[in-house]
Amino acid sequence: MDENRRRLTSGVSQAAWGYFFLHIDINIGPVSILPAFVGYLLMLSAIGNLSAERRELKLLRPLCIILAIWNGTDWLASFVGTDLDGLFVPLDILVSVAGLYFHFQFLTDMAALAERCQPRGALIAMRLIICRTVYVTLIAVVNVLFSLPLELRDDARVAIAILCGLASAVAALTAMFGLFSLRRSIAAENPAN
Amino acid sequence: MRDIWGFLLQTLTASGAAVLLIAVKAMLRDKLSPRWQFSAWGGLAAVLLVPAGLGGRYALMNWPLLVEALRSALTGKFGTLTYVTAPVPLPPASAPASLWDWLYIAYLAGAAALAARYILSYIRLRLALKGGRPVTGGQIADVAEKYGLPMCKAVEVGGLQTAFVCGVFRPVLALPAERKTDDKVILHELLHLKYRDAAWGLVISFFRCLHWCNPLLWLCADMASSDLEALCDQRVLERLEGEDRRDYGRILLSMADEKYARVPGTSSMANGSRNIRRRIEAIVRFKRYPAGMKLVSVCILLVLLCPLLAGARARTTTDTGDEYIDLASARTTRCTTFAGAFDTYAKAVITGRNDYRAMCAPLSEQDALAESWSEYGSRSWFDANLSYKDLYDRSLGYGIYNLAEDNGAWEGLLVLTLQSAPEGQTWSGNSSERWVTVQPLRAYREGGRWVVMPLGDAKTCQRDERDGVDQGLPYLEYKDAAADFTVRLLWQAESYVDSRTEPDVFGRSQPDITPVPDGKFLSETQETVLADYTGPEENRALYDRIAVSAAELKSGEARHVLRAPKSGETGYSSDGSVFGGLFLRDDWWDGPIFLSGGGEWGGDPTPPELYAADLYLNGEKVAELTLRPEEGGAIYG
Repeated sequence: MDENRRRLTSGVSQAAWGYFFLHIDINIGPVSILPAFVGYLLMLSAIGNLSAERRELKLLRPLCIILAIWNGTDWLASFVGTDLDGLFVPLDILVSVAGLYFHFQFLTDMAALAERCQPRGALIAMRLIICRTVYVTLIAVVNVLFSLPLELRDDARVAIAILCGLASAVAALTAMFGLFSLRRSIAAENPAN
Repeated sequence: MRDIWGFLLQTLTASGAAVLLIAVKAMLRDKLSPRWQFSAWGGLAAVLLVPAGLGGRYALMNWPLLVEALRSALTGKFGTLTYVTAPVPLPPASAPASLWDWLYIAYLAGAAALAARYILSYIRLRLALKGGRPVTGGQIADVAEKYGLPMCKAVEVGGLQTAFVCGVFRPVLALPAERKTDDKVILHELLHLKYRDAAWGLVISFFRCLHWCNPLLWLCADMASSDLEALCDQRVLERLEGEDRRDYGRILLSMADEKYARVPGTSSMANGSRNIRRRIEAIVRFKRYPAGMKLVSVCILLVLLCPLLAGARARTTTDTGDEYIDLASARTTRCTTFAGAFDTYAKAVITGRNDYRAMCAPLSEQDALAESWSEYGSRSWFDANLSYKDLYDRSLGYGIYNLAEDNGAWEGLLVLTLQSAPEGQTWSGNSSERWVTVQPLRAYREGGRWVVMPLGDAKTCQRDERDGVDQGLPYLEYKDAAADFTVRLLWQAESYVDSRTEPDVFGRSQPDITPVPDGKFLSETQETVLADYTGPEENRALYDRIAVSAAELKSGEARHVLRAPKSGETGYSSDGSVFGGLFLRDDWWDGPIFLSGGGEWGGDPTPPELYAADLYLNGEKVAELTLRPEEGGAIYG
């Protein structure tokens, strides 16, 4: 496998595992053993590996670093039973906005890569675009619902927010499976592999 | 805004939103389109147009607390709350009497002076354009036709550095007389004309006048103006191809050193070297954004704007130990429901904390609370009604008995249970005969908050809860008579905000002593049905069984068919009626005969108008009664 192809498969694989760490959560007490910041570090590595193929990915590096730092700090805070969410509202909003744009552009770029690399007739790119659209929309809905004042958050709204959160996780995991398929098809193109 | 504090609150709130917007825009500067970059300023405009602190809310940070603490520290007054009724300056309510009033006058004068300057400069410009040489057809018509853009009156004026559009309703395109204007510059100005961008210039100038002394908002105004030009550049580039795009960049670069005047209602392509540098960078990045970009742009705007506009409301007070900050925090943590105000008052009495009392006290009481703070130490509320403070049994919480509405206000009796009998009294240890303190209260609206004032002093009395309704406390009595018997129904309602501490390891929790200023009442109604024998002694032998069934009745409403109770059974029916029946024993004739008693959760805490009741004697229904509240019967006994 040539160096470019190796970087490509490795990058797509890291991106897929990144979504795994972001959306699969196993906790021991308040501490997650699959922390989200590891997901962002994997995505940061994926950006490094894939930016030669997709120039726009470089623009996402600062956002990915912000998200990794935020989630890493949150993870450390969980050891002392603290949650960073809600401590300083402007920072919450900044991180939410960064996350929204990051995932939108990251999945858009992954879909563009898939468009180029997927086998003829495969629908990986389309699947990634659909997942991106659903994921970003649902994350925005959850953010909007939780930014409403406490007294306006009746049970129905909280239930909708939880449903949207679950659905967005399903969309992200579908994207993850799409990325694993993409990796397999890139690797399969090389008979030596 | 009627005073300097209102202005301070408005401008600080907008500044917080501005800092967030600048940070988000910096983060997404090279990622989202110029359309988004300009639209995002709409969020700041919305914050500027919504009166700050409306409904006790604040955007991003608790600015009302900061302003109130500052106001108290600088003026020494605590009985004030800053309200912004309109986001624009209004004439002061009274003649200036203090330094702060004069500061507000100075602010008004500054805003008026800036507005006058803008108006004069606009009039001067229009007069100068009137003296210009009209241009018809030719180059402008060609550009407009080529790109399908509207045209307006155009004039050539001597001494102009660059072309611009002036005016919103009767726009004029001004061109330099000394040199030929490039087609692309005319395209830029015609696009300004098409999208009426000069109107945005007016809006920006309006906000500059309102917040003339806030440099951060002036920076935002400059950035918004620059973003508007960048948006127009984007529109131009979408209509140009290849070399023309590069030419456009070169033209823009040539304008970097040109002077530009900031006149409201105009749009000029040149806007200073720094802004032009940013616009050229944007041109270099120019691309046609994909369709999905609209989705993420809208999502980001929503995520950004919702918290800015919906805001948050303070729900707990600060604990800094500083008199100014903690009392300001208490005043600005508004009780938004009457239940929340009663809850806060009850917890202020239980804990003896004056910051809790300040949360629900009228403004006229706030200075006295501050004095208490200074005299007796932080958080200590000194009040004659708190003499039982150390005796309260916190684990039993409080109850507001017999709530009644009175012209939009609510009255009720605060009941707090004591751990032991007060001095000089005894207690058997029976939980249904505990000693309590009672105090009548009235909750009413003051400004945007509910406040509570006691209607009398706290007194002690002993409970009597053996037969449903606590007959040691006030209750309402409904009665009617037939066939040698008087039937009485005692009614009582207890309400409280249900807030409990986190369960301990055994799953036990206690009533939480932290106030819930937006709480809602949970009510329990109690009913006790009694019968008194009023006939002659010789008739007693005629009766061996008695039963009563009763249900609420509204005047004018038809009676429901009530359940026929059997002797010996008592309770509530699924239709809401209360019933009870028993065999009469010899020793019951001289006192009230207890037929039924019990409570219902979630009942309406307002007393029923009437009760319909059926009286059964010896198993036969002998009368249909209408139980009425005692004539002149007061809810408080």
